[in-house]
Amino acid sequence: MSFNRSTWRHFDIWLTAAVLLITAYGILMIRSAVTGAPALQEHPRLQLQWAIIGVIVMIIISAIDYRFLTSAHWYIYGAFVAALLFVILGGQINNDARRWISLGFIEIQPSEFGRIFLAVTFAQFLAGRQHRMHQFSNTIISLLYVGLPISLIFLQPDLGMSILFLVIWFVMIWLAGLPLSHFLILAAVGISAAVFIYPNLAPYQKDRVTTFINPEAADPESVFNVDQAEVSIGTGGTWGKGYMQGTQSQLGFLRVQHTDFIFSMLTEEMGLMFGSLPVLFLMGFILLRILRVSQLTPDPAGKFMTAGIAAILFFQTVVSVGMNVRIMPVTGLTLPFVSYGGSSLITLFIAIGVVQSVLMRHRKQDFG
Amino acid sequence: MNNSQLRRMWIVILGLIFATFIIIGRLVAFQIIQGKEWAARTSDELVVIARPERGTIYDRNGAVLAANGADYQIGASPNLIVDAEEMASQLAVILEEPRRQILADLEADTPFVMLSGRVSSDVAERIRALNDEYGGLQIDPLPRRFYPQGELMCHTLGYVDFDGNGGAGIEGYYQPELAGEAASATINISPFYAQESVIAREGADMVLTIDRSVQYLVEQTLKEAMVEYGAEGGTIIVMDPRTGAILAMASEPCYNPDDFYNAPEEMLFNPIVSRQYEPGSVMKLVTMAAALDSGTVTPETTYYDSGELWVGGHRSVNWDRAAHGTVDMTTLLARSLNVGAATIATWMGADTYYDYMRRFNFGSPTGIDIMSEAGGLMPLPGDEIWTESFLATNAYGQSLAVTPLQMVTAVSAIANGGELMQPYLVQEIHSSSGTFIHEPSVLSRPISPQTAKQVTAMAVTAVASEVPEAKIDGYTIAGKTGTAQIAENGVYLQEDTIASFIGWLPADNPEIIVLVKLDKPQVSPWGSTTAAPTFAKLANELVVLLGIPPDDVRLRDDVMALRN
Repeated sequence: MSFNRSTWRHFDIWLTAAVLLITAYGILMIRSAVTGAPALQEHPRLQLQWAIIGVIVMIIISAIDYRFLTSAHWYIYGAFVAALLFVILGGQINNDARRWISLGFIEIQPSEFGRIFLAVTFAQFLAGRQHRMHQFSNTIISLLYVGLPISLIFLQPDLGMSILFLVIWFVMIWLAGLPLSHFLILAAVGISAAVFIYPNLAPYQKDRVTTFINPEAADPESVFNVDQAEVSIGTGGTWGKGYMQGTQSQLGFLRVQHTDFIFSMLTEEMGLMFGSLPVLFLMGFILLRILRVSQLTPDPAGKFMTAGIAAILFFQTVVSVGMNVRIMPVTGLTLPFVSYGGSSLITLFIAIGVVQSVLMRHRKQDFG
Repeated sequence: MNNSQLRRMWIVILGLIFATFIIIGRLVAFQIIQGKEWAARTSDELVVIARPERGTIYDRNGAVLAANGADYQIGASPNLIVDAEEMASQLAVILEEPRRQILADLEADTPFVMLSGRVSSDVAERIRALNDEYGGLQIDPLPRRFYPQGELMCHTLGYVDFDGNGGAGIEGYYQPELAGEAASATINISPFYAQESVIAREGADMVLTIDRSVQYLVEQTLKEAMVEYGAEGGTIIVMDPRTGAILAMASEPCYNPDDFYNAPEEMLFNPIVSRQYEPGSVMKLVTMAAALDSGTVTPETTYYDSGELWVGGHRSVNWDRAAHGTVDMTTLLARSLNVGAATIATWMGADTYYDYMRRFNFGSPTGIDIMSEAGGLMPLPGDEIWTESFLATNAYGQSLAVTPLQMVTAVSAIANGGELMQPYLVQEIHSSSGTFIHEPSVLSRPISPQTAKQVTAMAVTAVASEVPEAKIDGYTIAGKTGTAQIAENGVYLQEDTIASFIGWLPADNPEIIVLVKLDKPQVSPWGSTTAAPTFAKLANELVVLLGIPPDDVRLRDDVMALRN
């Protein structure tokens, strides 16, 4: 831990401000989303509580040198895989998927926490193998490294999270210098597998594949949700219907509006100008601040892990907003900082903490 | 940071920016470009219509006469039909329509086709079974009125068309009350405004004065009489002369209100209150009442009957074309002498005579609560068509027209002691705003109780001495026959008559007054030989059904009551 002033002078106050702003906005939106649902009445207060804990965690993580984490990367990776295995074997079933570990007083979703730690450990893994980037075997090994947790998450089943991990892998290894040829070979293998195998499948097998890729397309409930989300966004217009005045959300047409569909709710009530654009601009600002760290730090591990964290935030935002505007299939991914959820929020603050930690130590010696 | 890494970082950032632009573009398209369209699709405003249930009609004892039910309409969704051939074969049998037509409908390239018009619930039930097996069919209920008693009192009840409007009878007259009032309001569905509730005014329930059993008896008697006497139509009204309450009224031919759309249009017309006819000699009761009440004559007054009387260039003769010599008033009425009636009318003079006719409500509707009542035709001095001879011919019921209901209402005033009661059909109305109970109302008091008693006594004698066909054992009956000629296109038909009898009993304290009218009886043209026996047959059963005690029992009870 480091508490001397010189370390903290690089602490990114802009990034912190943006994160706090978007989190506060999220809490206000959750408050609007749960009116009329007495069972969820405590959610805004809980989210505020998680946010406060999150900020404390963020500061603690910032204070810890991230290299402490990277030096222990094999242990962290091992613990993560073990937790995923435990989920498969004895996890809590919520909404037909095993994603949770119950610790008695609290339920934890290992994949939520794990994505950050995977970004950290994989960064160290890549940094240690930078000289072998040109070897195809290295690419395959890195793929296996990520593939193990992905396959375990895939079994839960949680397709969205599995794809998120693939994206983390790609962004990080790309920045680490994945040769274009490797990328093209993998892409060719993947596409040809899909192209040659898919047409030869029996119709019922095709159905299974499409259902597996996009299970919600076959589920009337999800179709309804997406339809309603579309109506919400469409009727929000430029200026919105006003805070707590959205008919779609307040009348219960929108479901899971405090988590998966919070974007359509905030768009309906706050419109393009006070809802969707501010949230997207804040997210964009946060992402650029994180990528700035990635660029500033000379340490490859720090560079990769911050880029990985940016990839996580970016992908979740795109998917969460995208499914509301029908450019992405419906998955359970949350809108970072805005959607309700303790695991999600605290993990995100850990991620920001890691980013701050990297930033604060990007100069080997700082005499300022 | 080396160049390669920088380039790779820029590629990542470009990817980010690219995705952001796609999302923002999509949002702008949704929220600004299509925004109005979406807003129109999901307006906060919602028109809510609450439709009331039409009121039920009951007889005086609570038997349901008109109620609500449903027909069904069959439709299909062609794209949900698996085996159109099989389905068409089955539907063709149930719907009784050509299979080819149904098959074409089932194979149509539209999301929905109508396969039938209104079908009964039996048919709908079979279709439902078919649907349970194959699917793809839709069975929609359509509200409709049902008349559980079938043809019973068709003219009285009327019918309700498929738009829910009463087309005749009570259904027509009480349309606003029975139908209730649909409520509609544009309400704001957003939760931030108080929700007003939209409540329809439900249709009121009606209880009639009519007794279903009496009505049935009346209709049966009328049908039998029509067969027995070869009449082409007829009307019977049974009324309580003390209140004007109609106990039964029937007219043949009849139609089934459930099936009104198949009835010929002229059949839907209600002869009881709308058909005007020349009443003939029944009118002499009213003429006599006027003469007595005005003091022109007393029961003992006599006149000399020479067999003819010239008034205004028109010659009145008796039905037997004979001269009856010196005759008193009672005999005049009993023998139904036209010359006598014309004579006393001329004694009264036109002013007095027509004054009484108006007091008896001739020439204007009684105001009974049923649709399309006619007012009759009562030309008065000063009217263009009135000539002096009308004073004579009106006296014995010619050159004027009345409805059966007007006739029975007028004679009721004689029967009940001088009060012209307004006839009515609805005893009680039960609506959401409360219960209305009809109180009998007196339209006018055309004659004194003394006169009423005198005319009744004459009418008793008339029945006793001249119309034995109308008598029944145990009861004193007052009454008068009528045999009216039928004018068609201004010329009296040679053969056909309207034979009628009006009678009330017990004569001294009547509980019922009955008008029997037979149109064009072929067996005999005379009221005394067709309508009078029909009256007797009906009265014989009515006294049992209504529990009217025979005279001796009643008078003995009265004496006993006085002693105690």
